[in-house]
Amino acid sequence: MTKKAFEIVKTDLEIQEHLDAHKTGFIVQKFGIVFIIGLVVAAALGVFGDGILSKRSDAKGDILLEYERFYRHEARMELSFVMVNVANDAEISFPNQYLKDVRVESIIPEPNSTRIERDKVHYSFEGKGNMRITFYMVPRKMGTLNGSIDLNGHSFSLSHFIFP
Amino acid sequence: MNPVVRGLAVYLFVFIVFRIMGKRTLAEITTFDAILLLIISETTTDALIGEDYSLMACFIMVCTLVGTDYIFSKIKEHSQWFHIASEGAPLVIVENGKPLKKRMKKSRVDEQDVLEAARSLHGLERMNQVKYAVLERDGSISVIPETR
Repeated sequence: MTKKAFEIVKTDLEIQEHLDAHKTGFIVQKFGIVFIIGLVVAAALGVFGDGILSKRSDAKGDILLEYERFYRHEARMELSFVMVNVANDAEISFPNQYLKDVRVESIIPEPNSTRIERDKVHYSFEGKGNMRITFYMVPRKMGTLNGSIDLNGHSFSLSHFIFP
Repeated sequence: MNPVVRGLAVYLFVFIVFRIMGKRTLAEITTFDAILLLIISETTTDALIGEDYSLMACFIMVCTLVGTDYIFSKIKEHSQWFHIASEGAPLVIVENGKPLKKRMKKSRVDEQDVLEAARSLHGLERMNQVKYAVLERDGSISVIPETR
């Protein structure tokens, strides 16, 4: 906005208008509103989790891993394994390092057994046929989290970015 | 997250958002604005306390917010730039009964807002009875009536 576009007023009021500050403020407001709208659109698309840009999946054989690429600190996220025509029981192993940064809140269905071995936590599930196992997890660290999860001999590498 | 960092982040974020939305956002409380403020306060409460419901966390949060406000007021005392940047400055929006359209449009104030302030503050009936109307720093509109 140019100075000519803004009405110049000479009043007898004892007032300090700081017109230049107003002009700068209106420009900052315009950019600010664009930023707010951008933030809302990005959030709706899943840049901060729970959206199409955040969902990731990785398939190996008859196993599909679904997880969130982006999420928020101290919010509950899902990590699911979908298995088709499983002949044997399923065993899912998480590295201790990954579980140090992510708290497992609940597992559906509940594992048959849990054991710790060689820096990994192993969860065993009984069942055959089609299976869906969901871990509800809460990130305890902000920034990048990496991990490698094993399921019945298949290794899945995953990476999350956790916002504050 | 540390409660002090949490408190500071929420304070600064809410402060910046309300500055971006303009002075009239808080000055004009319609039914919708009241609902919006209620929802914002509920949301920020959750973000402020997280899952820590301890008495100590409450004390820390209150002290963080009050302390931040005190520091801001001290900076405002010493820096005119910060004072204007954080609170804005008054702006004349009506001069001798003539609405200053560009100023009003930029400030998101319309003639009805000025007439409402003129009626409620001075019982004025028409715009030509207004000598000056000023959009104040807090978002309210002051009206100086035309003297006859």
